[in-house]
Amino acid sequence: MKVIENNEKTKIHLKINGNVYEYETEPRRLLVHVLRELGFTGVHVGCDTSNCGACTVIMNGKSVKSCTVLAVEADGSEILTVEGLAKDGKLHPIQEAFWEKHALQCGYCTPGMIMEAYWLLNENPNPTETEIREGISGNLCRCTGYQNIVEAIKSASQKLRINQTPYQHQ
Amino acid sequence: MHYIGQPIKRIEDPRLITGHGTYVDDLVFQGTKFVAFLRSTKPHARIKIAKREGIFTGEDINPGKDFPIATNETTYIGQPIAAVIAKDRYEAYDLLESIEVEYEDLPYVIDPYEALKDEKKAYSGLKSNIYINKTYSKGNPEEAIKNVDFVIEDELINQRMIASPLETRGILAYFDGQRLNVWSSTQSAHFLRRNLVQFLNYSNIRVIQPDVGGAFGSKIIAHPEEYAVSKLALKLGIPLKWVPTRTEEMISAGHGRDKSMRFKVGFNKNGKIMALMGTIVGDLGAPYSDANDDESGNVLSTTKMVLGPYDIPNASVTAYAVHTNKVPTTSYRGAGRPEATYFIERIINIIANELKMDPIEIRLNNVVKPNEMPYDNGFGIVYDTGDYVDILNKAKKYYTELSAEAKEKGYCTGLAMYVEITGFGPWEVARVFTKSDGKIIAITGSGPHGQGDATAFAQIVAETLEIPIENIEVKWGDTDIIEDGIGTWGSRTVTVGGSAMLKAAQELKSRFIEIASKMMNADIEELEYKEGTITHKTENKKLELSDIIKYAYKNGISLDVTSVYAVSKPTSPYGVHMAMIDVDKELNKMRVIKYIALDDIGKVINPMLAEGQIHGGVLQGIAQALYEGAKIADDGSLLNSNLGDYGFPTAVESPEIKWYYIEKGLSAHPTGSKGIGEAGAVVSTPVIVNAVENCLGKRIKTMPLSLGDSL
Ligand code: FES
Ligand code: FES
Repeated sequence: MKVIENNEKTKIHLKINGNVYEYETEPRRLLVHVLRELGFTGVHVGCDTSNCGACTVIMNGKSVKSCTVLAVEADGSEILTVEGLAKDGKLHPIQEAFWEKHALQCGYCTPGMIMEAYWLLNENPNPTETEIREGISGNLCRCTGYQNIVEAIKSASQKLRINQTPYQHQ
Repeated sequence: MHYIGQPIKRIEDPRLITGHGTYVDDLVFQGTKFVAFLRSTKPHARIKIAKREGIFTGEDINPGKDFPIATNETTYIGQPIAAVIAKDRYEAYDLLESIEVEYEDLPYVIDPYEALKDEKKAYSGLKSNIYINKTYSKGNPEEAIKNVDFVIEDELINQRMIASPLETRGILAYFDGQRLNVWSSTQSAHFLRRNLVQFLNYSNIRVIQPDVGGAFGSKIIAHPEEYAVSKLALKLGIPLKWVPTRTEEMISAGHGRDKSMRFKVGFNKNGKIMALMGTIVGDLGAPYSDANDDESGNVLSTTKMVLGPYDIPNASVTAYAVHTNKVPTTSYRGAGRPEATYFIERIINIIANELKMDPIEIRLNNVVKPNEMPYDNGFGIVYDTGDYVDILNKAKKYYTELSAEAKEKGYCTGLAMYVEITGFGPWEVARVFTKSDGKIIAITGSGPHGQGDATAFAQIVAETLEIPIENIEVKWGDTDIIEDGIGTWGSRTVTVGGSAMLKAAQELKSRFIEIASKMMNADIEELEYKEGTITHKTENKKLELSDIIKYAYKNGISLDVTSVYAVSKPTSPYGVHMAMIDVDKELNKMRVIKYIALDDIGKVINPMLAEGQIHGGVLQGIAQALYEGAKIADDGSLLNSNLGDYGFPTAVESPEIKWYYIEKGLSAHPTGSKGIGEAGAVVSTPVIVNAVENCLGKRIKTMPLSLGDSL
């Protein structure tokens, strides 16, 4: 059993958007802060009680609120952030749809919202309006009133389904 | 190349959807240290803080004063009373726990009506808790009320709200030995700079507004922490960053609304209001002057706008703005106008229900008629243009359909109307210049933080210069790149900032034509400008912009234009909104099923963006009616200080919103536009409460309704 003392640091490895990062961290440090320190500043902090979802990333295939995971806990995991969605400068269909449908204003919730949508459409490629609304209910937005976000996710689901070769990360 | 009026996709989006925005907490310099604040846990107390290395108090920031940082006496829970500086945020919060504070309790006052009695002062330095006491009158309400068919007296409460932008405040400040550089999550770099120059008595300051994650009024003023961090950065010469936790944000910033109205209204059988009398009390919270200056103006806005779009011949309303031992209130989306609209639209609904009158008919019997425009409401506001009768008649069609559907499905409907004031002065600045490579750079003195005005500005410049919108880059938020600026608030940016932009673009265009006339040796009248090409009307000569730009640089002619657009009066958009609601009395649950907005905001520059503003504003107003409100305990502490408890709506609670617009009442500004940033939040709250009231057949006095007090 490995024991790390309070003030001691330990080395962790995270595979973020396909690349491996090594990081020394105290056990108490939150994954969200480590991701941001590593340069993934699209991962945002909107609250301190796990309500807002601005910090949402995909960790080992699941959408998680990275403010509610310790960095040490995430050791060895694969993480996808919004920075990793566009490929070779081409936007992911969800990003495209957010732009087309005016699904963002200040943009602060947007990275987390897009990652949640990414996960949602993976789980359920053809969601109903209610399923979309429930699917993003862990992600708060103060600007848009959500309607255009729902529209964007509907449109992205269509784009992804029409696409013969479904968009795949990596 | 027509851009104005088109739903152009936002030029702001590509960075933001790929995670490449730069908000203040994304910035860091080598050696940046983190600042955290210790906050008062008492509503009113004398304080003593044991000073130690690394701990800074009010004495270091504002010696001998209690604002912005309390030195001897704290006046609200959440007020900053000390600061620590540490390597990072984890250690800063460790360090906070080690500070020792001695509190000596002082009498405190939480209820504004009690504060009005002036028995307990919110702060020992106050002569009175009453900051403003002003009465507006017209006609003779005392007399008029004697001759009406009916009189109703009651009280309405518009509760304290917390703006809660998803990004909190935050600042990064760095003094390089000569100049203080400040990045802040603010609504205006220029206004913050002016505030800092005054507070620090130091003028070599550059302020940058990076990407800002929303504000809704909460980031207009300079906050205590912004002053303190800037002061410490100037003193210590190391880069300092401050970002509060959400809990800190909720207990110390973004509080707004919090007004009540006691009224007496006299009306006749046809619903015509003949007299309105009342008192409006606004709770300013503690005496922090930056906030008080902001919010006391809003209390006056509420009062001056409380007659709504109606021609009420006799009225007298007294406004009080009063201090209590609570978080100082500031602007929140609408800034006083939502309360005004709420009070009058609730009064109208109460009267309509009393008389069993149709909600549109009663409004038609009271509204200002089109031939009376421009209309001076007698309380100091002039409504400039529009046709209130026409918009009510148009709304009738939607409301009839909605009511039929509601009847069929067992739902309820409600409606409210508003008139707004937007596009405040005093001025705004725009700068448009041309790089030698032909790129057009447009800079605004305002400070967009989500509203998408940069796209609207690009549309305005592209249309004026008749060139592709891709050739234009829009920038803002840096006091170094433009002469000066006011900021983004009061739904002023597209209209006032846009008029400045239009003027600057027109001037640049004239400069192009002047240079061409020189180059072609022709009179200006002989030339024609079309889509970036200048041709001689009679001779076979033409010039492209690129030729003109090359010539200008070679011959020492500047292609850099700054224009300042001055404004004297606000302009008044108006509209009618309605909703269909499902009220489940047994489960005490209410859900908005459909919402229809019909607005006249003059010329619509970009309907997609305008609609986005309506969606966002309407949901904030619905949330005030149904879910949100600061729950403050008797000791002045905030009981719902996180986004879970506070009632912030998710996608599940948000309804389908349909937006329609007419362009009847253009403003006198060069853009022809009026503001829409706040309209949704101004009117949607009474729409919802009226609908629930119609459903229950019982008068509603407090919000939010989901707490169940009304059922
Ligand atoms: S930061 Fe709000 S849920 Fe993670
Ligand atoms: S776009 Fe501002 S919080 Fe969602």
